[in-house]
Amino acid sequence: MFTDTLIIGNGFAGRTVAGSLSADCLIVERGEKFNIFERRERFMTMEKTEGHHSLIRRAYQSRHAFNTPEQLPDDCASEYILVDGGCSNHWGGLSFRLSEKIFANEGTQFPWPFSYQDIKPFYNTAEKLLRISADAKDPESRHSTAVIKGATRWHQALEPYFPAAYIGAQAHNLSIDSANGQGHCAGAGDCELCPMDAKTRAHHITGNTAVMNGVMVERLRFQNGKAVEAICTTENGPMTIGFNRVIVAAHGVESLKLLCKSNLPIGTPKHLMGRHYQDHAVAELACVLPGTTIPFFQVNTAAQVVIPELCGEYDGIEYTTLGLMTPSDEAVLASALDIDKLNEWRTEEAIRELGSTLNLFVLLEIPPEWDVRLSFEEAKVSMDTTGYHENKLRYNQIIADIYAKLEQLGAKPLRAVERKHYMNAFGTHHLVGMLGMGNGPHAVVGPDFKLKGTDNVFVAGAALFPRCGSRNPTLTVVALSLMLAEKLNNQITIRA
Amino acid sequence: MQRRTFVSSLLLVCGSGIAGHGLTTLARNASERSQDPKLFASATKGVNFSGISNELLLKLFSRQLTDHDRQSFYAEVVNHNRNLFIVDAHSKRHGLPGFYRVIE
Repeated sequence: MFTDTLIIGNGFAGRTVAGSLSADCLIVERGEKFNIFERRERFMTMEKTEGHHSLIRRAYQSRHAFNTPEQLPDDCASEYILVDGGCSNHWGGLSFRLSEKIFANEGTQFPWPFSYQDIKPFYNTAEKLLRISADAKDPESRHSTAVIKGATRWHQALEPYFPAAYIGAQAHNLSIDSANGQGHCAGAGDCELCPMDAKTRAHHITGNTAVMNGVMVERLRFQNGKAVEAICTTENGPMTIGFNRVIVAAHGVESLKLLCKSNLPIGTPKHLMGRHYQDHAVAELACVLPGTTIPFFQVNTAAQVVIPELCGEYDGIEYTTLGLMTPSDEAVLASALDIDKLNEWRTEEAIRELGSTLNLFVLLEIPPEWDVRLSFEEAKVSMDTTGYHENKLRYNQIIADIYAKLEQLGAKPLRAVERKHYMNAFGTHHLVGMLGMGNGPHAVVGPDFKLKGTDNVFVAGAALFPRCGSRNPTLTVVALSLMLAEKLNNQITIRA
Repeated sequence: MQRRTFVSSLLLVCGSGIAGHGLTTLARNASERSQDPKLFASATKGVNFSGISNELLLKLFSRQLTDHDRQSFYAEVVNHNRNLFIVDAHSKRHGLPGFYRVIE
């Protein structure tokens, strides 16, 4: 079999490149197609003593024996799945752009090879592709397809404390009028397995590209420094696919693996592959906003509130604080109870006041400078997290700063129920940066998306991020894929 | 629990408890503030106390709740009264369509 352009992976990255590329191409996807009703049924029958989110991951297990995700160490809480559409299936839908500051490249050894202004038009298109619904207060001038109903209530509630707060953009179809075959968000809050299928997934990005499912690329074969064919495993045995050009758009860990297994040219910096892996760490905090009644559930999508007043950068670590739009859990609410009021028999008032308790989710950057390493040796993926543990105490100052800011704004932090998850483990399923792009000495991929040392191997996906900041990566994955497609199209035009 | 049933049971609990040494102490400590069950019932009329244990009810009545009682108060009282801080609370269960509601 031969194709002009082979794309490995039918997730957001591969699908977006294929949809915009003007060359003949074929997508190979190791995962099988699936029926979301069947997956949901599988989830509903699972023993619920395990964590909700890990069960969702298990509900998406592939039926192919060769599709087993790597087991990452205990101090890395991230996981990934290997079915058709990849991690777009268990992505929550929150659609951030990376901050302008991350692209400004100040004080980092891991600069992006272009500016925010360069990527901005691609973000605009990516937001249309993902069918973003956005809050009118969103400062990033979103190109949204629908408004988030209920946002005004949240603005009014949070205004006295966080005047800049806005609901984070979501990739949910909130408008029946423009459904285009995609479901309508009923706000169930379980997007990953929702039979309404309202959240944009990779398969909603339409294109005419053929997809071969159940085909796993084991490695690329290079001949005279040029990649010539993909050596594949399928359900029915081995297979090879020849090509003129290949785009490696698998999950970052799997992209790393297949490249490590390949007979890469001497000019490819193998020692840097996986060398500066990144992810996010998390802290959960809570606070009381006296005098406020938070309108829990009164919004028509699963969402979080972005609180710019509690976001920033400290010591080269970017952090983003989100307010959760669901009520706090038992431990937090119990901690927020005003015992004095209860003893004054003002019981109803004390319970009503629990409606002013807000849970905060702090996303903390793991800078590439911390040297968390991912490697593939002797047929095994391993991770060296020493750099993380040597640096994680720096997050304590960020938490202290957030508390100080909360008090300055009149909020009451509930310190007794803080959960500094980052002290034990990191990971928010944002496994990025293992094949970082750029001009600098740490880059594995050049600014033209080409794997260094090769002529016809391109990389797409979150593996490219030289620095991920503190924001969810999906929107940037799609924007980068559009950028790559445009570069390739320009090359094709010049040749023609 | 019906209001009158609640008030009756409170009187019963108070009556039986008053003989106990612990309650004697509690009553002495709280002597300066009202311990009128009717006043208590009136002050807390917006709260549903079904499911509350006698022990916790006594503590609340005698104004002796401490930090140690937070968890049990949450479990025995707040859980049944989420409608006081969540609109339409009883119809919302995580993971079911309709979990989020727009009422504007």
